[in-house]
Amino acid sequence: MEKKRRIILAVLAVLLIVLAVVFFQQGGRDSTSLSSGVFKDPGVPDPETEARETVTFYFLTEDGPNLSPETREIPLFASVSLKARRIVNELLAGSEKGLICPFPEKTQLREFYLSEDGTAFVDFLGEVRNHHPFGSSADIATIYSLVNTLTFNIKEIKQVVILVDGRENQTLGGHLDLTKPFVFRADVISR
Amino acid sequence: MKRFVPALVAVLFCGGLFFGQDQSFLRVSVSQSTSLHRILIESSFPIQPELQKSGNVLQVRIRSEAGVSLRKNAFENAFIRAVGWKQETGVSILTVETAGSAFSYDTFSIDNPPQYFINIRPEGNFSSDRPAVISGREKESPEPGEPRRTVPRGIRTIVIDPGHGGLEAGAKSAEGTLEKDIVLEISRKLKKIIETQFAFHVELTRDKDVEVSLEDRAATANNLNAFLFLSIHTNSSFRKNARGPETYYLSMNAPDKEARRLAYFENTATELDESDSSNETDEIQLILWDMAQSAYLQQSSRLAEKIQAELNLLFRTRDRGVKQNKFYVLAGVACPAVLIEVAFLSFPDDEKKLLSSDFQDRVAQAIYKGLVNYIRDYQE
Ligand SMILES: [Zn+2]
Repeated sequence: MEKKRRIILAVLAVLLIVLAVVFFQQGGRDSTSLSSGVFKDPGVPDPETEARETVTFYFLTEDGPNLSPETREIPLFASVSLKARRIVNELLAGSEKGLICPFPEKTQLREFYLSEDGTAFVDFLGEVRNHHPFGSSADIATIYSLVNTLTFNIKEIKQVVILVDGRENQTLGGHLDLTKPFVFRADVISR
Repeated sequence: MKRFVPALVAVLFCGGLFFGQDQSFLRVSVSQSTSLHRILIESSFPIQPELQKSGNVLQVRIRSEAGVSLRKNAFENAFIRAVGWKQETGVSILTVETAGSAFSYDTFSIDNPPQYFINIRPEGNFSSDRPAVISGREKESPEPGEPRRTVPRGIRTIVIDPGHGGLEAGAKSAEGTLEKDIVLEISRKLKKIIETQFAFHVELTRDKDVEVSLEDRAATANNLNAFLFLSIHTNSSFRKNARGPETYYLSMNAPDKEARRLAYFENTATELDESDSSNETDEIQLILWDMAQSAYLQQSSRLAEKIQAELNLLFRTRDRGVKQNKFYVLAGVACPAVLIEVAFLSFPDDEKKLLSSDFQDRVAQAIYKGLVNYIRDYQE
């Protein structure tokens, strides 16, 4: 039952998208954000089309220790892996609204890989470690900013493993255990 | 024989089966550290001694049944000349004779197993330069005909883990203050306080500026069968305003987390594919089984609360709350374990405090108080 309803919904949604794309190619293109969960059809042009979707990034603020959401529109991707890369790069580029990005300035994504069981391997260049503040709070902010952003926006990603220079590491700054995958954590997000 | 010791300890912990006449005992030992002399009375039953000082004699009266076995460990002490037991109706009396009448004393007790401490501090210019002695290592002189002691002394080890070390310096302030240096100072101070106030042996995972692996730190605690593990760190953040103390213990409640994740997605009306979430939960469960900490999470949480409460008083901070996370070093420790982030090196005002030796003393005192409060509540 549930599945059938979903399929119908999905078909309707795709129709809507197609209609929307047709409309907005002619007219003004503003605020049609498409729900990230609905879209699965690989038939849409890849990687970048006129269609966009809203993504939620988790950054820090000076108001408290928890992460704060910032939404932004990114192009619609058919490939989960391309979408994930784009999201990580947008996250590393920092906030557009003055929030604090919990990554060292020159942090770069080296590789990204999503395994069949939903484990995302996010591989950074060494900079993520070399210029890290090395406190527990900083470790936690870096890790959960990434993990929550990826798992919240991409439902195919169930858990996240963080690699540095292609290798597994015990910790980032001497605190949290990087040898096991991280899952989404709601309690590190401010309400 | 040795194999039965843990079992016996467990029996004692579970509620004093040693009330029977032939096993009921009181045992006194004497030890000494740099500034004070300590009398430890171990007993097979709860005691509430009454103390009375007259001249150079301190008398300790303990209600006890007839036939209680009165024991005394051999000792050598610069200030305490002699200790002796005598038995009167319904009461055992310990007489402590000192080298001078100018001394003060205070007392402290632990309930399980019962241990009662009298700290004696000579006043005036009586000084001693004897090294500290751990009373549990003293020789015992059992009274004739008495069965050999089967109950361990109960002098246990607290492991203090100064974070980082060597090339791995930890957090670094804008001024160049290094986490590894501050935490070593605080750890040394804490060790001193615990050992002078308390009948615990304290082991540091490092006592100098060297790199120690996270496995070795946990192994120190496990090899010594530690009672508690305290990892001392100073914090750092990407936020300029982050300040104040935080206390962490291990998080591993994956099923709960998964539940919260589901709840979160439901509340935010985002679609979530649930088809294999139960599989995932099982898998994470399995991974977590190899963590030694799991059995101690509740105690670790209490310990964290007590320590955080004292640090909040010291820093006059709003309670940032005790937090949980997946700390590598805590996962391997098989006893209650917490990680204390004393304050933020990235916050100049915190840094200034952390650099002051006087403030480091107060931090150590606060952690010690938290520890005492935890141990007092230990039974409940
Ligand atoms: Zn640290």
